[in-house]
Amino acid sequence: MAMLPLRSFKEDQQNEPLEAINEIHIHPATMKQLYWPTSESREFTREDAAKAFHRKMLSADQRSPHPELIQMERDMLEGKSPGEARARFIKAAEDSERKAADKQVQKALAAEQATTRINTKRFEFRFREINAELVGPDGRAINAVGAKYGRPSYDRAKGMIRIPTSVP
Amino acid sequence: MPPRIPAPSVVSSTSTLLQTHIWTGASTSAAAAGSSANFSTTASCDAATVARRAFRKWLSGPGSNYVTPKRGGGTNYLPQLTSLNLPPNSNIPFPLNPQFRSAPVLDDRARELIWEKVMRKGEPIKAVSAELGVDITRVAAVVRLKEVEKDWIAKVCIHLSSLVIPAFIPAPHFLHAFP
Repeated sequence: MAMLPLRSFKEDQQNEPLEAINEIHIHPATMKQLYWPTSESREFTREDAAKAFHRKMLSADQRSPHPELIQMERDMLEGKSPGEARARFIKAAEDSERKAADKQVQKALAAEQATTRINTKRFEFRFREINAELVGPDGRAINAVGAKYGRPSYDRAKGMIRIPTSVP
Repeated sequence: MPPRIPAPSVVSSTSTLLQTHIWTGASTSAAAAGSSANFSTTASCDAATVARRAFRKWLSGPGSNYVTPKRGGGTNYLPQLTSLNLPPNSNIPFPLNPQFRSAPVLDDRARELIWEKVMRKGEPIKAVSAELGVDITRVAAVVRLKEVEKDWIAKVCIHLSSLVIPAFIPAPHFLHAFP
């Protein structure tokens, strides 16, 4: 490790950034060249450009990984003190992360509530309610129950272990 | 064990292992090798090629910097072609490609600091990323790997002080042992 250029931080001082933190991936749908007719009187914004690429495409501002940081810069431009803007930024970051964590927890709880667990001596059986009718608009929903034509079935795939591997 | 330097009459074309010890470009060994071989008509080539001799010469001259890592750490790149004096700890590894810069890597103190901020002080990851200028995915990766490292140190490493009298070893010191 010592032969590489190393980077250290000073804990209580202003640090030089290691890398750009607000980068977003270039979406392949935005790499097409479009001939999009628009009126000259209209101001064509980034939102409009996103919609032109795809109806569900989000604009660069919405795809940014640091929206709270952008809001902090806006606050400072509006005239708020740096300390206050920083406090609002930290609170907004905390809120967004707590919301994401809660969403994950809710998802796990909902999945657990939908599952019936039955414990025997050797196995734990887990049952879920399914609806075989939910196959999507063209019958090819990826999460639909049942065999899917046009997609390989792994019933006879070699090397897959289909029997229990341990005695609980 | 002293290096084996056999007499020319003993050298045969099949014993290439012995020939690598001979760094003189003498043709006598080649001639002797060719005459003693029963099955091949081509003379075996000398192991001490011009390129190898030049490398050896470079290694004892300007190349002596690269035999061992630099004391005190830091990069040890080749000097640039345009300027003769290379600044220490430069980030240009390839002299023919000066636009390529090697990216800095977080050292252990930096990784420890990130882990402390996220796990001990409970700061949001976005705040740590913005304060230190480190990408969010990198902060998350550092935290995850630090957790694994600390888990291993707690469970896998054997603390030396539990084996030896503590007065004789500088603390902290870990002995890595894998079951």
